[in-house]
Order: sequence, then structure tokens, then C-alpha cells
Amino acid sequence: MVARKKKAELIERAGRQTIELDNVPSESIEECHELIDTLSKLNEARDLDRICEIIDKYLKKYIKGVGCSIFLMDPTTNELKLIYSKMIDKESWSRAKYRVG
Amino acid sequence: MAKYKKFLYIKNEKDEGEIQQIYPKPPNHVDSGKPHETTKIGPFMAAPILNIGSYQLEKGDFKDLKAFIDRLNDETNLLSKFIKNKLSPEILGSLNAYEDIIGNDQLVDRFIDELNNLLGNEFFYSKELFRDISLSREIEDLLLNVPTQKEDILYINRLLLEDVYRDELTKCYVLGVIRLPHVADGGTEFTEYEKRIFNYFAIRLSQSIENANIVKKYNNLVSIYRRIGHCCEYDTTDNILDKLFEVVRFMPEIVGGGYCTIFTIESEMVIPQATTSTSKPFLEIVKRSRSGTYLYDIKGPGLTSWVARNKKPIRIDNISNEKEIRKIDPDLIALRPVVEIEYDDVGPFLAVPIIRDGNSVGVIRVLRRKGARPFKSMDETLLTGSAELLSLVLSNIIRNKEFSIRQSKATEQWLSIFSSELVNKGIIVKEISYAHEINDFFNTPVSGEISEKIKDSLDNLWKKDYGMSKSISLLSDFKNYEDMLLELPGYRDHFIHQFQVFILGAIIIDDIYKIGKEKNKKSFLDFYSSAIKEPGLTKQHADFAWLIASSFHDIAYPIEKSDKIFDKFFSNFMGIEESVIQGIRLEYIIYDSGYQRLIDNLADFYVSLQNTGKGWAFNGNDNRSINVDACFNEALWRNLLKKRDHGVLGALILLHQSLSDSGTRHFSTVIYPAALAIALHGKLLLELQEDIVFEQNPLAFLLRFCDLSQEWGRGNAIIGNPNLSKIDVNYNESDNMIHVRVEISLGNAHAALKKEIEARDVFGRLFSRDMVFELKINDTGKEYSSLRRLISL
Repeated sequence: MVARKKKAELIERAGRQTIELDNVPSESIEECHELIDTLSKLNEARDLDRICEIIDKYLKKYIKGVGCSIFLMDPTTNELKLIYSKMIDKESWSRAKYRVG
Repeated sequence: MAKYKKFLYIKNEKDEGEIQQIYPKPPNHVDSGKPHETTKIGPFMAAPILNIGSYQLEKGDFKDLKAFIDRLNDETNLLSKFIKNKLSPEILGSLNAYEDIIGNDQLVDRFIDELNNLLGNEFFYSKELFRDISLSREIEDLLLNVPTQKEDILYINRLLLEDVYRDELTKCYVLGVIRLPHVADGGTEFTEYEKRIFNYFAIRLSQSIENANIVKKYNNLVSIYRRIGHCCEYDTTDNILDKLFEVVRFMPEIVGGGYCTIFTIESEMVIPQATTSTSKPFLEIVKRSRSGTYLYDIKGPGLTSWVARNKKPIRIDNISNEKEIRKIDPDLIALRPVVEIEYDDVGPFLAVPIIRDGNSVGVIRVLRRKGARPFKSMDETLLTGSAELLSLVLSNIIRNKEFSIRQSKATEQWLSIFSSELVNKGIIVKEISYAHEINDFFNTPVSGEISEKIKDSLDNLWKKDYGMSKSISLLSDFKNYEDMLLELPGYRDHFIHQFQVFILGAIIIDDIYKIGKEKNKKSFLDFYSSAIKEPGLTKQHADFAWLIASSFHDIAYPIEKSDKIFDKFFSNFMGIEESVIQGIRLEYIIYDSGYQRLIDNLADFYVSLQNTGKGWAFNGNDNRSINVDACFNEALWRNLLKKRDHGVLGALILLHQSLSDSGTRHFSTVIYPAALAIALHGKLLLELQEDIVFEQNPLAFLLRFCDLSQEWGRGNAIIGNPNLSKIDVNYNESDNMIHVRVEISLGNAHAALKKEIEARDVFGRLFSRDMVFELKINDTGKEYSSLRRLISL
């Protein structure tokens, strides 16, 4: 329980880019390092293809979901446009639009 | 979800009751693609990807930290008072003297930490605190349920802060959404740990998507620069405008989306040149834009006019927010309509001036829909960079338009002087020695002074084969004196007229050469050679003789009119109206200056042409007719002394000048024939007993014919607007002769009558055997023919 709490704090800090590794169980440290690496990779991504590639590869390691979708807001039309979807094939979703408001 | 900018977690997406609890109103769900397979979906979570990363405050979230502290210190602001009461004494102390905090990073960090602590733990909203604040609709919706979770408190507090400190805090907007559903069958709820990790991904995604947007903007910028550069390569306005449409389509991409219009500034109006649009067809919009529907007066109160006028950008988060607009300038208002979208749909507004050489030449304007994320200062910078490059293109457009207006004005002026008939015929001459130069002259109309172009052209032609630079320089002097002559009542231009006579004759000579070749008829050179009877005559001799005879024939007008010029001086400066100049005794001047010999030679030459016997020679002609010589001499002197005839004087000037130019080299082949033609084109012709026969003296004949015909371009308010209707040179099979026909209109009955009298007199002296020269005066329908006279004889 203590380890779990520490891990949670650690992750919290990882989310905000600072981390202190004292008193953290070794198995958690490894996972934290991996998460920090992943988040750093995201930080360094410079194009949408790379972003989708990272999400595709790493998100499932931490969250047991069946897939993921990312939408981007088009400021011209104020609509969300699907750029990445793992659950339903991308082709059939490429025309989907979610209007805001 | 994106509307509420908030993390969303639903245990079962099929449970609408649960969704209702989270959303005060169901989200407006539009799905035009494959139906969402909701039956398979269980737990669901989605997080907004925000521009600010998370709702917690960071240094970068303050647009102006000093201004924010000022607002906190404002005792009348109830929320500020509330927040300050919750801060530690140390921070509170530093806020009261904010020079302590500004620049002190550690203190700023602590201040922000305390604010974040407040944001996450103290729910700010109460009716009392926010009684004077107008809240956005989204927040009002959210406030229907009092938040209990820390995340919800943080989220709503952050939005409340943004509404209260609009100018001091960066507004949060949604870049996108990340969504993660579970399969219902066998799917378990997401753990808190998973939710947390999911939110971290969303936070990091905000950074990476912003990065990706910057890279995309950079790539778009490179692309748009290429496109703008491509525009610069096009040389006509229409081509540039076509390319500009491509630029405008891509321009919004460099600022991350929107609708764009590129304006130019012409004649104090801000005119849309290319635009993107939504509902209306692109071309219709462009057409309407250009037709004036969306023009702005540069002095007007609108935003775009302000940008053009003040050469400064305007960036507004919401065009409906009058306070935001008035902050820039109290007189500023947002004008409707806008070309891009319906005015009422417009939210964020960004416009930058396009400046060239310190002047506004256009404006780039980008709009977004209401509720869309506002433009950032970086967008303004990127657009300004594009505007700098675009200034080159717009300068080209404006320059091309101005050039085109100048050209059309020049062409109009060109045609009003030379007439379309002369220009159309002039550009196709090809046989005469000066064909290339004449073609060039008419192919490149100028916007400046036509007389300057004529001067240059004649200068070039006179020097081309014979190097007569001194004589041609007199033409420039003539133009200067003519400016004085133009002040005399009734005086009309003679400088351009001489050139027009040259061109008319050149067209006729060219056609005679062409028809001569085709129909095996005598060419102009044949006529010239058989008249002059000099060995070794070439086309260059004949054509050059025509050039100098025609372009020099009125050179002595200033001398003929000198009495009147002097009288005008006395009248203007001294108020003496009667003629005070009694006439200069020309005979003494002629004798003293050695002109007598030139006159004698001219008479000899005249006699030799009139006689069909032996050729002419300076040192005596056995075949000369004493009677003809005496008559010519007498008429010449009479004209010279009493009438100061510009024809005779012009001939003497040419002979005198050419002596210093080329000695006697071309006297018999070019100069004397030209001088005689000049002498005979005035009053002298009418006083002689002999006719001018084309076959005997083609140069004098042609000069008198062309001089009589040339009236177009010399009109004024009194005599109307004469025009050249036709120049027609063709071979007539029925009489086996070449016919030269010129038709003119005087455009005024009085002028037409005067021309009739002149034509009757001149055709009374012009005569031809092998060719026919005809003149028709369209106003009266009267026709004159050198052949008709032959028939009547």
C-alpha cells in the first residue's frame, strides 16, 4: 500500500516532469522510468504520425482498454476531426465529425 | 466533451442517466460516419487535450503577471479580495509591493503554488462574488451542479478565473480529445491509476500536438512562401491574381486554420483580391468582392481599414466583444458584412498590414468562427512575415494595374494622334528601308511625351545611313520654338504633323514596293531614279530623300511666323497691339549669307526635273530652259521676300545645314530632291506655271499629297476632330495602275470646306500618268484624283 502510494506520487510528478526516486520500490521505478520515457517521447514528437505511433505502442501498456481515439479540433469549422482510432478502422471513421457546442 | 474542456469518465456509456448527470445537457453528437457500436462499449473515459496542458496555473499562463497582480490588488474586485484573503502573509506582502515579486522566480513559483492550492481546494463561485461578472454560457451550464471532486473544483475555478481575468490570463481552449472506451462484456472499470495515467497522456499530448502544430505551421509557411514566390514570377495582373487565390487558400494553415482574405489598397479603398469562403461558391465570392460588395474606405471606422491606415496589426479574441475592440481605439467598430463567413459567426479576428516602402499596399485578414481558439501572438508574427513577402506580389499587382492604366491611356492618346488606320498600317510595313524602325515605333506606345519619342526616332533614322546629326538637331530646336508658335491664334502642331506625313508616305512607298514586286510594276525607286537621273541610286537614297523631305518640310515655320511672335511679345509685355516689326529685309541676309548659290542650284535642279532631256549638273545644264528657270526664280524670290514662305525657307535651311553635315556628298541623290520637294510644298507650287508630275518629281508630288491629306491628330475645339479613315494602295487590273487612295474626315463643316478649297488648288497642280493618287473628304463626299485631272484635261 505504501509502495502503491509512493508510486502514485511518483507518477504524479512524472506527469509534471519532475521525479524523485528515493524510497521507491525497484519494480515501480522501472515502470516509472518507462512512463517518463514514453511521456518524453510524446513531448519530442513533432508530427501527428509520430504522436499516433507512440499512443499506439505505449498507452496499452498502462491502460487496459480496447482501443483509443484521438480527435483534433479544427479551428476553422470548430469541429473535432478523428486523426487516430484503434478500435474501429480508420477508413470508416475518417468522415466522422463531432461538432462542439 | 470538448465543449466542457473536462475529463469525462462514464462507467457504462449505454447508461444515459449517468451521462445526464455529468453533462447538464446531452452533448450535441453528430456522427456522419459508421454508426457507433455502443452495444459493445462499457466504461468510457475521455480527456481534453488543452493548450494550457492542465487547469493548474503555470507561469506561461499569465499574459501579463504584473497586470494580474494589479487586478488582485484592486479592492473593488470581489474575487480578488476573496483570493487575497486566502494567500499567505508573505505572498500578500510581496503583492502589495510587486517589484518584490516581479523578477523573483522563487517568489513567483510560490505565489503560483498558493494559487493552484486555492484553485484545487476552494470553490470560488458564489452569487455574491460574481454578481458583477458576466460568465460564459459553458460555465453557467457547469454551475448547475456544485462540484465536489477536487478535479472538478480545479476545472471550474480555472474557467471562472479566466472569465474574471480575461486580459491577464491565457484562455484555455481545446486542441483535441483523447478517448478510451472499454468493451462492455468482460470489461472492468478503469482504475484510478489508469485514469491518472490517461490524464498525463492528455497533458503531454497537448505539448506534442502544439509542437506538431508548430512544425506544421513551419512547413505551411515554407509552402506559402514558395507559393508567394511563384506569384512574383507572373508578369500580368490577371496571372498574379490567379496565383494569389492559391496563396489565400493556404494562408490560414500558417496560423492553424481560419478563413482568409487578401486585400489591396488602391485609390484609398481596401479591396479584396482573393478570399476563402464557406457556404458561397468561391468564384461568386471573388466576383462579389471585386465588384465592390466588400470594399472598405481606408478612412472608415472598420477594423480592416484601421489596419491599412495605421499600418499596425489587430488581434482580437472575439469580434463581438466591443470592449476588446474599443481598447485598441475608441472609435473602432467591427463592420459588417465580411466576405469570409456570416458576420454573426465571426469570433477571433487577426489582420496584418502589407507594407511596401513604408506605405500600406494591402491587408491579410484571418477570421475564425465564434468559440474557436483565439489567434496567438505567434500567429500574428507568422502572418506579418507572410505579409512582408506578399508585399512584393501586391506591389507587382498594383504596378501592373497602374502600368495597364497608363498603357491604355497611352494607347488611347496614341490612337487619337496617329489614328488606328495609320498605326495598323505602320506596324506591317516591311519593304521600305525604315520598316523595322517604323514597326517598332508603333509596337511600343509610350506613356510619356509622344514628341520625345518622335524626336528620338527621327534622330535615329537621320543618323542611321547618312549621319546627318547637325541637321536633325534642328528638329529639337523646332519643337522648342513651336511651343511659342502654339500660342499664336490658329496655329496648329507641325512637329508631329511632319512625322505623320513621313509615316503616311512611308506606308504608301512600302505598298508601291510590295505591289511593284507582285505585279511587276514600277517601284518607288524606279520612279525616283528615272526622275533624278543619277547613276547608282538605291532604295536607301529614295527612302532617305523621303525621310528628310517629309520630316523637315515645315522646319521654317518659326521664321515664317517670326513677325507674329515678336508682335505677340510687344503685345503681351508692353500692351502694343499694332504690328511693330516691319519685316526683315531677307534679300540682304540671303545675299550676305551665301544662300544665293543654293537658290540658283535649286532652280537648276527644278528645271532639270521639269525638262525631260539631259540630267542636271551644278556646273551648268545645256538643256535648261531659260524661261522655266526665270519663272521659278521669280516665284521663289517673291515667296521668299513677301510671304517669307516656310517651304522655300525650309529648302534653303536643309541645303545649308546638310553642307555642314555631309558636304555635297548626297546633294544630287538625296538632298536637292528633298529640298526641292520642301520648297514646292508651300505657296510656291501654286504660283508656278508648271504642274508637279509624279513621274518627273515623285518626291515633291508625294510630299504635297501627304501634306494635304494629313489632318488627323491635329484637331482642336474650333476645327473639330479630324480622322484618317483609310489608306489604301492597290493594283487596279482594269487600268493596270497602282491606286493610292486616302480618305479623311475633318469632323467639322467649316474645316471640311477649307480642306476642299486646299485640295482643289493642290490637285490643280498635281498630275500623274502611271499611278493614281486620290483623296476623299468624307464630310462632304468630295473626291480628288490626279488621274481625273488627266481625264478632264
